Amino acid sequence: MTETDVKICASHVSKVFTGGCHFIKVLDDISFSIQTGEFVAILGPSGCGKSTLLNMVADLEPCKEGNIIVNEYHTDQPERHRMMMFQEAALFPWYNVLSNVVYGLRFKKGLTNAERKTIASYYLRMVGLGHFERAYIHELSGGMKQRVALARALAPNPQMLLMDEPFSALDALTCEHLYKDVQKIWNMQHKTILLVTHNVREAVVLAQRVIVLSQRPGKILKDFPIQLPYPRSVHDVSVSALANELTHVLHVKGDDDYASCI
Amino acid sequence: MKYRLLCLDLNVVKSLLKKIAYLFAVLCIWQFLYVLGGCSDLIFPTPIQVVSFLWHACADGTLMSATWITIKRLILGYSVSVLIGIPMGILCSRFYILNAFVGKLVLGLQTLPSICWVPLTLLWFGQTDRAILFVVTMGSLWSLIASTESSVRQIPSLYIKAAHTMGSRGVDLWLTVIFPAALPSIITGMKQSWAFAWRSLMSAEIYVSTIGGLGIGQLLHYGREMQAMDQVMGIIFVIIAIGLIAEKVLFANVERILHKRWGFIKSSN
Repeated sequence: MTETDVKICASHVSKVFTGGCHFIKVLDDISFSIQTGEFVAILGPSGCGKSTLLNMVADLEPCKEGNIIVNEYHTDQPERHRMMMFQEAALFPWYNVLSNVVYGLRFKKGLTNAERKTIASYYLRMVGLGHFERAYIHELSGGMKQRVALARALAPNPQMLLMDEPFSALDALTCEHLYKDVQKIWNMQHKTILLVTHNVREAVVLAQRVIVLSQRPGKILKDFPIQLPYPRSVHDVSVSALANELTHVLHVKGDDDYASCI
Repeated sequence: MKYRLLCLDLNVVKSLLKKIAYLFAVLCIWQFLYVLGGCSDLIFPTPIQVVSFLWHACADGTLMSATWITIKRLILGYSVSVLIGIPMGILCSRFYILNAFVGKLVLGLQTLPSICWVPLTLLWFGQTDRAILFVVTMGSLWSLIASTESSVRQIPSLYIKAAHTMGSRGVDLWLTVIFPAALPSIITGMKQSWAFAWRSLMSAEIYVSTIGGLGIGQLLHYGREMQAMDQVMGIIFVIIAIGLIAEKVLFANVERILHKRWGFIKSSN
C-alpha cells in the first residue's frame, strides 16, 4: 500500500482535561494510521479516553497536542464524509424514520427531494427496516433505533464511518444481528470504519485490526491484526480464542502499567 | 363493527349521564347547605338564584359581551407576551451576556405578583384597555422568557453533536434541531404563562374599571358593589368554565400531536 492510501493518521496525540485546579491526562502519545477501506476497532477499558479520541477524529473536540490528519489534510469542522454513530441512537423524535435518514442527505448537492427519499428508503431496506419508514422514533426498539442510525450514517455515502460504542446499550441477541449487518455492509461498500468499544468479542468479530488502549491515561498497548475470514460470529471458536488473548493483553499489560503508575 | 359503534355510543351516553348526575348531586348538596345554614341570600345564594342570574345575563347579552371583551383582552395581552417572550428566551439562551443581564431581571420580575403593576399602570395609562393589557403582559411575559430560555438550554447536546456531523450549522441547526427539540418544554412553558395571563387579567379587571367596556372581572366587581351574591357566584363559575375551555381548545390538541410524535409530554417543572 502506498502513502496515499492512508485515511486517518494520528501522530503523538495527547489530551488533558483541566477541571479547576487539577487536570486529568486521558490520552498519552497515541500514534496510528488507518488505511482506506480498513475496519479498525479501538478497544479499551472505560474511561481510557477512546471516545475522546474518536471525537477528535470527528473534529467534535479540538486536538491540541499532536495532530490528526484525515484525508491528507487537516480540518477543524465535522464533515459529512465522516459520519458518526453514537452510543445512543441520537435520532430526532420530531421526524419520522424516513425523515431522520433524509436529514443527513439534505446538504448533499445535486439531489432532488424525491431522490433523497429514494436513497433513504434504499438504506432503510438495507438495514431491514423498509416497512418502518412512517414510524415515529419512540415506537421503535433500541436495536431498531440503532439500525435507523446506521442507515442515517450510511445514506450520505461517507468515506468514513466513526462508531462510538453503538452496540453497548443493546441486548446480546440484537447485537449479534447488528454485527452481521455491519459485516455485510462493510463487505459491500468497504468504507473505512473506526469502531470504539470496550467489548473484546465485538472488536474481534468486526474489525480487521484492534488497537488496544490501556487504563487512563490511554496508551497503545498493542496493535493486533485479526486475520479471520468474514463473516464471523461471536460463537466461533477462533473468535473466542482471539478474544481471550486480547483480554489477557488488557489485563496483564494494562495491570502492569497501572502498577508502575502507582 | 355495528355492535362496536353501538358500544361506543352507549359509553358516551353513560359518561354524560354520570356527569349530569354528579352535577345534580353537587347542586343538591349546595341547596341542602343553604337550608341547613339559614344564611341570608346576600351571603349565600341558592343554586336556583345563581342559575337564574346566569340565564338573565345571557338573555340580555351582558354576559356574552363581557366574555367577548375579556377573551379579546386575554388573547391580545398573551399574544404580546408570546411574540416578545419566546424570541427573547431564545436570544437569552444563545447569548451569555444577554442572559447575565436579562436573566436576573426576569427572575426578579417573575416573583412580582402581577397585581402589583396596577398602581403603576393606572398612573401611566389611566383607566384604559391599555392598562389592562400591560398588566396581563407583565404577568405572563417573564415566566415565558425564563421557561423558554431553560427549555432551549436543556436540550440533549447529543442532538446537536449528531446534527453537526451531518453538516447542519447556524440557522439551519436552530430550525431543524434546537427549536424542535425544545418545543415540548416551550409548550409547557406557554401553558403555564397562559395561566398567569388569565390570573393577571382577572386581577386587572377587578381593580381597573375602564372606559373600554365591561369584562368578566368587572362584572364580578360590580356584583360585590351591588351586594348581588348570585352575580358574584355566577361569574365565578363562568371564569372557571372559560379557564377550562380555553386550556382544552388551545393546548389539548397541541399536546396530543406532541405526544404522538415525541412519545411523551414533558411534565412541567
